[in-house]
Amino acid sequence: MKIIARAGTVLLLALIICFTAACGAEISTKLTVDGSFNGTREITAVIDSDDITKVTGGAAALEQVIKESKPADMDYTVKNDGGNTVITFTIKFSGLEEYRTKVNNIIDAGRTEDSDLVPEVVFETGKTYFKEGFRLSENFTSVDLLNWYINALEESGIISESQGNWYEIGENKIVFSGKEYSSGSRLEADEQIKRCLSGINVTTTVTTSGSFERVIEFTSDNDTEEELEKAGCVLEEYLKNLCPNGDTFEKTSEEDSYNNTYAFTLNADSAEELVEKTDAVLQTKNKLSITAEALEDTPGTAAVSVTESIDGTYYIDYDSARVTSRLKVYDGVEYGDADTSYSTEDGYLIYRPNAGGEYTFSGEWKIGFSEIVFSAGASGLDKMNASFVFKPIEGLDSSLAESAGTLIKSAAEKGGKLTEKDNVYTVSFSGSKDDVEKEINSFIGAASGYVPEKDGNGKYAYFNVELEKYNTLSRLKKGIRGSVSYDFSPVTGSSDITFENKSGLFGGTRYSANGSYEDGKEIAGSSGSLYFYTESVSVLWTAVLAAALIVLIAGIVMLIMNRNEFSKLKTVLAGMKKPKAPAVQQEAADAPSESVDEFPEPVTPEKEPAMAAAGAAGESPATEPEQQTVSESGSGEEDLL
Amino acid sequence: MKNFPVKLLVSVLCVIAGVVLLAVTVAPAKDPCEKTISKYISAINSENPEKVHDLEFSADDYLDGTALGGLLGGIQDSYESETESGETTRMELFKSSAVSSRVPDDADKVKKIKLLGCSAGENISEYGITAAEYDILVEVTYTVSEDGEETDRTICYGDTVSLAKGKSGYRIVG
Repeated sequence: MKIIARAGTVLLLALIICFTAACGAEISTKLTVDGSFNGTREITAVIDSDDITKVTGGAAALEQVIKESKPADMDYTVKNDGGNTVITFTIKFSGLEEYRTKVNNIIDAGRTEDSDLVPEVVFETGKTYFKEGFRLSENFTSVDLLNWYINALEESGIISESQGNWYEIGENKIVFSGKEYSSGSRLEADEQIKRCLSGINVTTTVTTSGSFERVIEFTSDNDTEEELEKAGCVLEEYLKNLCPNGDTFEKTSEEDSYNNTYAFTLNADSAEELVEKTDAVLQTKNKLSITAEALEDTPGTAAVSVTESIDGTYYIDYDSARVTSRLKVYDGVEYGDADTSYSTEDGYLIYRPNAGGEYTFSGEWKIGFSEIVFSAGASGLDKMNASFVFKPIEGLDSSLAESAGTLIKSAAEKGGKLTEKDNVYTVSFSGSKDDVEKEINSFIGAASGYVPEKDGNGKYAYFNVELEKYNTLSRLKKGIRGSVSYDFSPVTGSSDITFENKSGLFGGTRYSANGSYEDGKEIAGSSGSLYFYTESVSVLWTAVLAAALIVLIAGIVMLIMNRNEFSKLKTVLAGMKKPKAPAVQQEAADAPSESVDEFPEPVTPEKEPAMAAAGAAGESPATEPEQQTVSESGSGEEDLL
Repeated sequence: MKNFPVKLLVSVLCVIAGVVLLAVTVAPAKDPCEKTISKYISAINSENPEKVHDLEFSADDYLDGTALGGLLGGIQDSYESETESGETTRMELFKSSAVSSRVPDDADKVKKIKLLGCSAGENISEYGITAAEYDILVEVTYTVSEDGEETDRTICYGDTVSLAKGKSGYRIVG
């Protein structure tokens, strides 16, 4: 309304402003169409002879401005009718689409910065289950179509703004197939019987890898569906039959609810394919086009433009219901000003398109990666390493992928060691904790053009780490825990960061970042906090373990090799059992027996055959005498007893 | 003495020394708090509510009842509510509840909870109560169904455990 009021005001400033007398210009409109919307729109401005004299240069000057500024989609004639100047602007068209396009172009030609008018033309005839009869309505006036002229006259200076600002809307009429309908300044003729649905929600998701998904959700109520049934349409069946092959349709509301919801889920590999499927479901002409171009001056960033047209007029009455469109093109596009108001939620741009209106949204996108893996580790309280691995998005336009790579390369010049293989960029950092902190901050900071320094609290802007020991509950492994606060967004944009746990016999690193898990990997946002836990082998305790094993094995081997000494031990133990007093008697009575312990008895010729026999039986010659000795000793003992 | 089995004795001493060294090397290195935490997680892992309860600080340990950790209470509450619906068994519930906020939604079943490490935090001694805070690292093994087959997956996360010293040593507060 604001825009229309302004346009109306300025129109008369421009066209007729000079008329301070009681009369002014009369602006009349006549839209003539047939059943296929072929026809003309005539906008006539009549300026009487008194008023035209107040225009510097008169009618010729007015015409000259038209010649210089007229949009290509509009024709004009200037006539003198009994002293009055009659200017007629004409738009010719063949079909609704051409009319919409021309109207759009003409309004764009006169669009000013604060104008958010998106022209809407509804033209319906014939009979469907949802609507019967003729309807034609627009959301703009002829004044909106003459804004280009108003602006041009202002610039020309042939009219003084101080002379007044009134105008008069003349007759507005629609002629459809020979029948005439009177209208207000916004053309409107409505003879329809309506059985319309309550609303349509369209949610479109476009990924960087070029997949398109669109959910089209229809809402209706039981009363409407009863009316439709009377007209021969069971809504659920009707919609189900519209579902393209390979896509899905389902009733998503509960069976016994008053309001019902039906949803199509459409998948496509291109915008064109998605639009084709949308056309089939909505039974209107729709549009979706997306462009993304790398910004030369800002590596890693692309300008994204999305143009969409969603027309739900086949099912809904635009006087009481609207389409709501939710658009998510890539992840994290930041949109600027648009021709219509919109909001954002969870990465979706949300707006309410008019029937057949084309909406363009432009923004900047920090070019993402399919995966960014961050890893870190520490081998001491002041020695650590870290790395980023940037994996490209498959199917991403090569210029965009190159731009993202340029950003990583240029950032790595400020900090880190860069390696590249098959468009996978790895940036590594190692050294003391302070060095790694500084280098990572330089790397991230380079992407935003900001060279980070520690703040008053001794913290950097993008990456801070604290290292401390942690108990691995095993002496064989020592543990270091790193507490990290990070903001990688200048390099990664809104892409998530992946953390992969690695552990093995000789240690590894695990992460805890309060993220979500996918295929065993933890995925967190581009900024936040995380802990990493590095385990490594303790050299000291590994040496102790090795020593323990050596000593144990050596002991076992020695034990096996000296197993014959068990008999010696038995002898010793037996000897220790001897009572003191009998031992003295034995000492006196049986000296040879004692000599076994203290002074081994020389082998006598009488004993040699026995030893030889024992040796032949496989017994150790060293053992046999001892056994013999024990036996003898035992005999001796028995003797003593 | 010449027949004394010196070599045998040396061998035995070597074996003993080796075993002792080995035992010292591979034995878990835990302070009293870490022992309690370790037992607590073992009790949860073995789904032993009585043991879990024994390892929690209770009113008997001179602590205000409100300071009790909510873990057991939470487990019991959800046990009561969920077993009433007959959807799960107590054993499944116990282990799953303890880590329910951590495991992904697609997890079918929690198989194992393992304590990987501890880091001693603040130690406070006030009003006759000695309390300590420990940051712990836990590994959870869970299963997911993929194409009708069960696959094991693991996640790790850090958490903070508070302990207080009661009559029978350190017990879990929360």
